[in-house]
Amino acid sequence: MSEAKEPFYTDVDDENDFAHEHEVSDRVPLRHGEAMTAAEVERFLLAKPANLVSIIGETLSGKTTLMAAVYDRFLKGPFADFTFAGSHTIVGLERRSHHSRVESGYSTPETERTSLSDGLLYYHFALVPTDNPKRRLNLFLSDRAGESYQMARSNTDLVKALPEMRRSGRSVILLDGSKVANKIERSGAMQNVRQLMQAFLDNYGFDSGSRIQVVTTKKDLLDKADDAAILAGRLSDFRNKLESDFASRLGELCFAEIAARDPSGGYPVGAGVDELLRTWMQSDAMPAPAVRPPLPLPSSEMDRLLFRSRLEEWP
Amino acid sequence: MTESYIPILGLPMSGKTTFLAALWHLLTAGEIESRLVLDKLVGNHEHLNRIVAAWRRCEEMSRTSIAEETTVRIHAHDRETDKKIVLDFPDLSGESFELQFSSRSCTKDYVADFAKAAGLILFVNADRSTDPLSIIELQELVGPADAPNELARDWSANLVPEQARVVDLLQFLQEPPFERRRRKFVIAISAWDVVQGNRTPEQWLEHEMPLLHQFLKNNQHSFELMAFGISAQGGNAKSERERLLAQVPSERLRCVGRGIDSSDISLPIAWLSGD
Repeated sequence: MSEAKEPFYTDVDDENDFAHEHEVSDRVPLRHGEAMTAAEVERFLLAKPANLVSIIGETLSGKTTLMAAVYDRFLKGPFADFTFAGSHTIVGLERRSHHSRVESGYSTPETERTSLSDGLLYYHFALVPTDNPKRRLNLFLSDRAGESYQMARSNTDLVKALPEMRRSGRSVILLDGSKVANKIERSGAMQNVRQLMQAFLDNYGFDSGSRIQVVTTKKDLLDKADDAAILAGRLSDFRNKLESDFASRLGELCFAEIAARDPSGGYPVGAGVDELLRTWMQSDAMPAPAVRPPLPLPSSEMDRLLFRSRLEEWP
Repeated sequence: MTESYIPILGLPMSGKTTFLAALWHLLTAGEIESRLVLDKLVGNHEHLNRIVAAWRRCEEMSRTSIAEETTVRIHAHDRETDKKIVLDFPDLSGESFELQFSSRSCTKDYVADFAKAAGLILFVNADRSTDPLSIIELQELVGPADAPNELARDWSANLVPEQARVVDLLQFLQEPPFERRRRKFVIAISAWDVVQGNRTPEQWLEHEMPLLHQFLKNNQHSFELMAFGISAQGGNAKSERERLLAQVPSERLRCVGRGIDSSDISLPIAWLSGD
């Protein structure tokens, strides 16, 4: 039968404690709740529209921290003029938030790194605008190990193996604020972002329809840099040059600064993330409609009837 | 006669068994006028009588283990509508509810029971530790920590905040294998006696469990919500035992919700089993 009719079930994990102790056959599997694969997101899109945003950044640039910060804010209440209506990836979001919580035993907030072997994953949020409670919007944020982007920058043949930019309505490129604040690392960090943009533009990762946000993370560290004034000038020059060299080849290019988790507590959790979330929820972040894969011709009249039914009617 | 099957859900120590014991006392003792009235005493009430004995002695309820899970049946009628009702409450252990989240599976019986459920009642305990603090929130309270990360421990399902677990468990009910329909849904905030000030149960939920509150507000197509504050013991069974023992047992109960402040804890059940 149609794939779209099936929920995203998984088998009970073999390594799960429960499976070892109980008779699994008496149990019915339920949604896994982990980060979703690209295939699962495509199945979701067959039934409902969603905004897809790809989060691109090299190792430790703050990709996962950004996602966990969005989730943390909804745990505390409405955020950025939206309220939380659900998530298919609560377990995944909880895993990602673990190292920033006191229970983790860490003394400074950290975020679990995404592994290269995880491939492309998505985190899901169903959100409702506070000024329009009847409207329900779905947002998927992509997550992939930073090494993948580093490798694609160095070997552009690998850009085509990164489909998320082409699939997303918007892409966020993260510039690691901790490196920008460090005089030794600064130039390299900026040039890596520039080279990444060029690689994606020259190899069909980005095109004239792409909406790109270059987001400097950990802005709390920029404020504290010894040469904060010089740094601000360098950042401004860097952005101007990106704009003059690339903006005409893109649909949109803009810049932002965030402090998703300031360990010193100077900025609230998710500072600047609210503005990003508002742009992600705009209708122009909507991906191209999902393409329903060809289905085998149903053999019985009952199967044909199901094909004629709406498979997903609920929000 | 209408038969109402009402699943009672909640994580361990959320107050489910204390509520069942107090409800059984309320209906059988006849000390105060309640909306639901016991019709006849038939069937096996061994489990109810065991838990109510402890409740009457103002003892803390022990956790219901998975092995002790049982369904209790109460024949009652609604004093206002005169409707006869057979109430079936499964005294599900909190562990079995918790296991659903960690194992990402549930029993076939649980799915079948929901198909016949009139509504559901979910317990959360007001006398609870706060949700996990972020390290940043802790640093705002006590200042920066220089300690190494040597106490680091891996993620596990039991570290997930209660409100996130409850949201996920309710999301299960919105998709197959569960029937997709709107369900009457009572959120019962137990140990309501510890709640300070004049907050309503909904205000408590909004402040203490904001993720769950947002979720329920935005999923009214699935859950027709009524929030009640319930004090099924009347106070702390350890520190206030003498005071509690001095009271008429049914009079130490409290049920607070939309314009209600009463000792009648059968009101949420009457609403759930109503048309």
